Amino acid sequence: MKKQIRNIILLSSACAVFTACGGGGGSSSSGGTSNLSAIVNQSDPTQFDNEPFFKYAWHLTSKNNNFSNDFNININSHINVKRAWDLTTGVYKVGSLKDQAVKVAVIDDNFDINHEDLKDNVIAYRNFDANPDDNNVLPQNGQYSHGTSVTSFIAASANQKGLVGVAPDVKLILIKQEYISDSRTIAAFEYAKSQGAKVINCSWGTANGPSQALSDKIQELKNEGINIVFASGNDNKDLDVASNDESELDSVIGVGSSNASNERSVYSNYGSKIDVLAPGGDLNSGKPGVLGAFVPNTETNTKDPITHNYNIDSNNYSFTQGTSFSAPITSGVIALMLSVNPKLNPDEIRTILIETADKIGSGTNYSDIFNDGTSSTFDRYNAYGKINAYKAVKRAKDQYVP
Amino acid sequence: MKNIFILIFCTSFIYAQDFYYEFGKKVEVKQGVKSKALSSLDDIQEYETLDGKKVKFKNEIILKCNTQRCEEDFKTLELKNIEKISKNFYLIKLDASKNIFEYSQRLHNLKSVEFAHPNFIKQRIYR
Repeated sequence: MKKQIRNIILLSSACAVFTACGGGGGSSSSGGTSNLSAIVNQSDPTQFDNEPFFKYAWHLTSKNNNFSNDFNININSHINVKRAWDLTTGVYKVGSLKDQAVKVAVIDDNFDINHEDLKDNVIAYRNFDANPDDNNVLPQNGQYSHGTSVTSFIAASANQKGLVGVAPDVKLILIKQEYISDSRTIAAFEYAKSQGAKVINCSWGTANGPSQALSDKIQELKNEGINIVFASGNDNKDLDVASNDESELDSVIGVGSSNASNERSVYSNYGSKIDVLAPGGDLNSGKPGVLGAFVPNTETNTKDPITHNYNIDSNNYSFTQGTSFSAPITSGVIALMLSVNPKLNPDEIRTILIETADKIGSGTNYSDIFNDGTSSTFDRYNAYGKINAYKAVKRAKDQYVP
Repeated sequence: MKNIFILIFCTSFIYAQDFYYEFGKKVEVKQGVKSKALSSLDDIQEYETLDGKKVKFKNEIILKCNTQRCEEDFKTLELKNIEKISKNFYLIKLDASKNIFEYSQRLHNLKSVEFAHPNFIKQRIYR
């Protein structure tokens, strides 16, 4: 009898083990949707200098090389992420998700999911232009891929190729959506949530701004702890004047652009609802844009002259400019913050970002005009300032209570 | 007298007849041109609001329910093509015989519905 009981116990235990090893649920990772856990081996930040084009990444760290000297790049124009990398590269350090990667979603036109600097970090992708949605997110032949460039600023891999993103160890959920109705946009956001995204990057806007349905959906996601980042736009426009832009929603982080002179980019939209700036470059200033992944295409013809002149010979990278790239840099910083303090809600994330931002710009007038409970001052053109990744991540870490 | 009636009759066509509610406000529209959607099966209607904004949509309404009862209310309005797209968000596809503005208003005025407006179609501006 004892032997039979022992055998039953052994058999039950074996069944439990095989059940637990049955996988993380969800479909195969070769398909567009996956719920596989994102446990990762963390990158070694001391090796990031070995990324071939890291020397051109003025937006990440200070540079003192031929490139920075040629263009007289302001030594403070970066977001100070190198010191942040000593704390985290995008893998949770604490909490129930420890050793798993933070998940970041990007909603954009299309994605080259086979790009050498993105493919290792993509865990899910979905095309919401098709109805029903499918897995085809690739750009068509000769088509510009805004989404590929945007995504690289968040999480280009640390793989000794090309460059490295702000949060090279996060995992990416890529959502293609170009031709949009409110219903499909809401479905796209819902998909991002269902895949576990804690940050959703939106480097776009619409002519009339968000509808009530979309505004409400975004508020709902914020209430559920998801951080949503919108680019402010590139028209040098005062958004306070008769505007209703997605980046102005109270439930999102609105991001404008700064340049290699450590000033607001001249094209960057501004106003009382924009929260922070992040590097987006300013090719018109005669200084470089920001270097990101690129897909050879017929729409933009050749790469810009700086890319060509600096022998970035691979077709896979190019300098570019726009608040489109300021937003993912900010999304990457938010992911780093969450990795050291996953308990932060979106309001706390925002408070830390604006309170740790660096005041930039000449002729500015930072003042405490909102009395909004934060300890930071605001300037209509430069918002609360340019994000400082190290200060933001350090503050997030220091505030963590298990 | 006859001329007055003719004047009133003609004037009634100058002002917008159609409207929907958004953010608690009445949005009146004038009809623009009908344009073909990406799919040749559906037409996109284009309108202009009185403040000059162009809006586009098919014969579809997006709404948010504030109670479960709204699904019962859909039945009383004889709405059949209903898709739940997210928690509390529904897409209602109207057949061609139903006027989108009339049904937007009727749905918006239901106590079980928080808001209802056309399912806008927008061009994304990449930045």
